Amino acid sequence: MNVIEIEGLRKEYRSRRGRTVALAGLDLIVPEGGVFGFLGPNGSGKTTTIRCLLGLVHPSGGRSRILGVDPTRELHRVIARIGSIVETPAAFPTLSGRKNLTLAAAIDGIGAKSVAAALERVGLAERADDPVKAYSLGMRQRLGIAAALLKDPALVILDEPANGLDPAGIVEVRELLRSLGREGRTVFISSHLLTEVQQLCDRVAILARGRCVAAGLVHDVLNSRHAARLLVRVDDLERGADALCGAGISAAVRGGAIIVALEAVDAPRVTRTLADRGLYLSELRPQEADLERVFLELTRDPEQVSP
Amino acid sequence: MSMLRVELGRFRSRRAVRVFAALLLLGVIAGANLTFAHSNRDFAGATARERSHATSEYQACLQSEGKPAPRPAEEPVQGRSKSDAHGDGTCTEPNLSEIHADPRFHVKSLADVLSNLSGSLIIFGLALGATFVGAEWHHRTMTVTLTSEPRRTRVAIAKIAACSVAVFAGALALLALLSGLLVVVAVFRGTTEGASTAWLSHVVSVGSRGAAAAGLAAALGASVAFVARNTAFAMGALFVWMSVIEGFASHLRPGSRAWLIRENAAAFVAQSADSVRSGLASGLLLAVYGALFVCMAVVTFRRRDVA
Repeated sequence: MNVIEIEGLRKEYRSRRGRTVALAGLDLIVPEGGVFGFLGPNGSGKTTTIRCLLGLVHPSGGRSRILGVDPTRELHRVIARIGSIVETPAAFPTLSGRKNLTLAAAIDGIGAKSVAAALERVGLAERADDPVKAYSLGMRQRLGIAAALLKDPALVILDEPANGLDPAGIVEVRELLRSLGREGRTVFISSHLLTEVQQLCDRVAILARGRCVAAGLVHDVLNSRHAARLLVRVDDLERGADALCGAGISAAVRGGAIIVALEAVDAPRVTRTLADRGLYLSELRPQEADLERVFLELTRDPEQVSP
Repeated sequence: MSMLRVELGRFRSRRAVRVFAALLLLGVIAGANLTFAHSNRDFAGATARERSHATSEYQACLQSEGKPAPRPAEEPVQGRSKSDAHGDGTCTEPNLSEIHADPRFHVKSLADVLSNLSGSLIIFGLALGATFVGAEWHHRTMTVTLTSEPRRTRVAIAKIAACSVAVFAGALALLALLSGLLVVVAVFRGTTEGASTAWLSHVVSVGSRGAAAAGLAAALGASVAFVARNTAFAMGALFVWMSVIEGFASHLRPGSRAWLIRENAAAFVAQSADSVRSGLASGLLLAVYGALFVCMAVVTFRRRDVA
């Protein structure tokens, strides 16, 4: 079952300065369970998508379904199963974290015990009775996550959950989100922290200019955009590269190493060619694909379509 | 009803509400104390003070190069001197034997006191309604509410009704407290002359209408803040409308007075002989205005995106 289905979603904002297209026909499917990363540069439409899914903004066109219902008409039927943060968590600054959560919980008829448990889970129990204005950005973020978890949701939608967190906080939130995914919930996070997403998510979708340019399992997305390459190091890089090119192998010196356009199974060809020229390897390994490289490549190319 | 209960809890927890309530409570207690301090049954002393005051005024009038007016002059109002009453440099000598002071607080004047206090309560009601909803926009907690209850009509009506009901109840409690304190003053330091069942019914009626007007004002303030999405803008707009536009309208086109909010609020609460309409008609007109404002708030809230 898919928890989110989006088809041709469009959103245009009109202002005195003209028309801004935030979503230009977004297609996206988020299957049930696991952690789903939603990536995109600033202004690519991540938050607008989340707002459309949560009924906060009215789409200009297209269709979407969340937990099987149309969010523009029937969201109230499933909202009790959705926990969310949209952009920075919102709270009354003069009230305590506990009071803010209690007010939010009251709408769903959730009691003080669940509030205390949510605060405990995000590590805010000790500061729960301090006013929110005394919280750091990271603590406000945790409070927002606690609010999202109050309803024991099947789907958790978090917009930049690691925003403002220190490294220890990022690790804690990562573990928390992983544990939520393991519990069978679907965690949908939008983020700029690509390495975080690569470590945390099972699936990703990459947005650029209001469209999805790549989606799928993290491994598949990485491999779809990453040509097999070997990274080679020898004492004399220039001679090594010339030797490989002389043997008909595409190679170039880049970043203190020779990058060879061959797959790992072809590594013996490289070692043999270099050894024949009296060059001995100090390093030979497949060049790892990383999400950052794929992300930059995809978001730079407006014509790229989903694989 | 659960949404209304939640919003009432939210309203009660707001600092601005507590500050306003504390200010009004202090005002009521201070007012009752002042009345207690000024009210007494020393008729001779009070009359002597009044006569001495009238004589001093007359002497001061003569010293400022005024001439005594020929007797019998125009009858002084309530036996007091009218210095320079003719505006032509003549001074009327006060008829001291006609000056009698009554320093007691008369319980029969309670309805007038409540009616006057209602004006302040209406202003507080407008401000509280505007700040309650304006703060939700300012702190973005409206988004949090909508991610728990996406049915915007319910949210808007619950918020407007909550502040209206809370302000009505608070105003009623304050007016009841003031009435109680002033009755005590009347019993111990004033007079309960004129206190009858009819008087009690009139006092209860004025107090209830004052509280109802304050509750309606809160609904107006909240409705405007739903459209303006900003406390200051909402209060500014209400101030400009009530003070400037209605002020000009009543001067330039006296016929329009029967349709102005300010005039009808005064007619509804005070029901004096020179009112623009009967109390009932004014109340109905204000209810229609209130309903129009609430409809405008709901329609705007439903149609516009929430950031």
